[in-house]
Amino acid sequence: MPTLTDILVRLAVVPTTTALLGLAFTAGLLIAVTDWRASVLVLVAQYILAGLLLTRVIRPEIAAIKTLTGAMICVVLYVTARRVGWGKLPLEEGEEPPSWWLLALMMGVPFRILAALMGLALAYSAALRIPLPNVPLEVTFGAFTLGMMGVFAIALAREPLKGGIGLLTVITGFEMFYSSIEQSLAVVGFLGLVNFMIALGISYLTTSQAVADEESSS
Amino acid sequence: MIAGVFALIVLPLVAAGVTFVLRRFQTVTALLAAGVAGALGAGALWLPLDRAIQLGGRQVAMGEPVELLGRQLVLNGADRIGLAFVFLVAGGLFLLGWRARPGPMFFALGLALLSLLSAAVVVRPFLYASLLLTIAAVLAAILVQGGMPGQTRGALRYLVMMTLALPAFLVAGWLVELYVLNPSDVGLARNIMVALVAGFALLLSVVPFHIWIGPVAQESPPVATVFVLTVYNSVVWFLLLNVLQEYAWLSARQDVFRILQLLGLLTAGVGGVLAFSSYDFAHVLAYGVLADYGCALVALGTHTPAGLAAALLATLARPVSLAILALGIALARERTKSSEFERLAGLAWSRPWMAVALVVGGFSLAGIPPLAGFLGRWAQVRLLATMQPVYAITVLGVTLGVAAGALRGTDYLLQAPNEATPDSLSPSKEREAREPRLMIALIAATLLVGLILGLFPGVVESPLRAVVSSFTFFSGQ
Repeated sequence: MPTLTDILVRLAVVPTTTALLGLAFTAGLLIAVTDWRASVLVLVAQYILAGLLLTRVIRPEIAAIKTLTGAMICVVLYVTARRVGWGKLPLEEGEEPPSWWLLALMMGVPFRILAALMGLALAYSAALRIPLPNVPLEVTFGAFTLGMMGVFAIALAREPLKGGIGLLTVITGFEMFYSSIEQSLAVVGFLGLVNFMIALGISYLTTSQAVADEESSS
Repeated sequence: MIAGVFALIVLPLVAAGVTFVLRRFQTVTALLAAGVAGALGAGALWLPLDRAIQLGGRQVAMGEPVELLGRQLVLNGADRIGLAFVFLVAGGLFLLGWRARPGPMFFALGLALLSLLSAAVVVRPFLYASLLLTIAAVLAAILVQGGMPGQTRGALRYLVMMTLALPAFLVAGWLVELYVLNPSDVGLARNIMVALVAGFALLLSVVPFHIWIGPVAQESPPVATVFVLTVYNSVVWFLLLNVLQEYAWLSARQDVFRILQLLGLLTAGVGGVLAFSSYDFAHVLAYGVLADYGCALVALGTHTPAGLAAALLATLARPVSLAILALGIALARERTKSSEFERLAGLAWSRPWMAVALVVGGFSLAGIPPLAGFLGRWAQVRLLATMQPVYAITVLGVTLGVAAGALRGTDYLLQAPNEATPDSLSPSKEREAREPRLMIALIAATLLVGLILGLFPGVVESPLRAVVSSFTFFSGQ
């Protein structure tokens, strides 16, 4: 059975441009979508793509550890979000859900898409003007994209889960740069622990928010 | 032989586990947490650093360095007093938490935080301190959330701000390694300064990174809020001083101190204005402490031992002012579920201790004599008046701003009872709903500590001198 490292090494044949576009797309989706299932799935994809890009600058084993940590974080967030049942529409029994475009308008999706596009443009511009040392341009672009989109996601978040996913995205973006300059296992381990603790903190806040929402709706 | 550093990290963690298991027994956990924190604080303060002593059949060496996973844990003279202060403040807050409803996991999380913060202070290099501080921030976010359903805005903002400081410190750590190899690189030195200032600005909640303080004060249990505003913040202050001490080339740069001073001035100004326009005692607490943070940075920015002493005096007095105010807010929320001025109108006559705590706490935070807060504020104004008179006037203005906020609240509290709001109970019910005796005792004890500090500042002179003399980054002056 192939290990995660083997899988990442095999996936490393994916062209950098494709991985970068995927990363930009997933980061944009994190801002645009409000559904928790989609958000957690997109976060998983983002961790895998970030791991793929990282194989260009660090040992595949370390990239695999980071991807695995990301996957574990997504499991924590998935279980939390599922338990609190977020993303459900506040409909009365027997009430028909609104049409998808009306729903998109209600959720502010057009504005969110615009914000995501603006974030991408800013990240692209920043990557060209302020290239990060010790990393290739594609990693610079990936780091800036995730950093920028994460900040936008935090700013647009109305609840802890989305805000927390934004925060984790910022940290992933930073790690794309930092992993290339600091490869000590102690730091990698600590950063993984920090990420995991943040996920637990978000999970706690999400549950606490949901309890209040349930109480107010009942 | 037990290394003292290890005891300061491991014992709170063990106690955290015990208090978590016993969390339903509020009295036991509060007294246990206060006892452990107080004992460790006293130990850190009085046990000698240079030799081992016999304690309970075991040898304890406070100054013994420890190597853990290749990292060094060292307790030096200034850190030891800093940690003693942090532990003693935490012990006091645990005691207040006994009756002030700080949330179900306050004691366990508070002790775990103490363990992480101790590790952050003693670990070298500071890169690991920033990682430990971020983990501590996650626990602190849960602590300030306080198990109150739906109150997550402040906790999330706090978590975001504290976590965003991490990249700045990690980058600074990497740049410092490069700078050691290229000490003549001016650009590198500037980048390190920018990264460190950004990181500390985030951790010290300098404007505009203060956005969590208001919501946390509004939503969280008051004692838990004070825990984060004092214990966590004090550790960040000690880390800042350690960094300035460790990197002489950094502290020799005047622009570091100038930037810190300008940020402090901005923070103090914004805090003063926001406190002035407060309509809630929780806001007086939030913006009063913001103003206090700013004034301390202005004093440190003078780059003199007197400036450091003034900043440390403010750090020392802050927990007392905040604790008094927090007890008042806790009582007010118990009675009216709010600390808004309007909701507390006329309550001074039926709830005198609550009113005294709110008024004295607010004025002490502002720095009005003869209360504890005056200690730091007077030192700051005296120093700035001789060096930068405009800044001294600003600090005085900030003091007036915070005091005006507290004064407006006092005016509401002292309104005649018959003018009172719909929240008021009938006179007979109001008499029945008397203030809990234990809370009165805690308020009285905290007021006494505040008065002693305000009237006899000499009691803290010796440890303060020891801390100031252990930092030599002013010698280039």
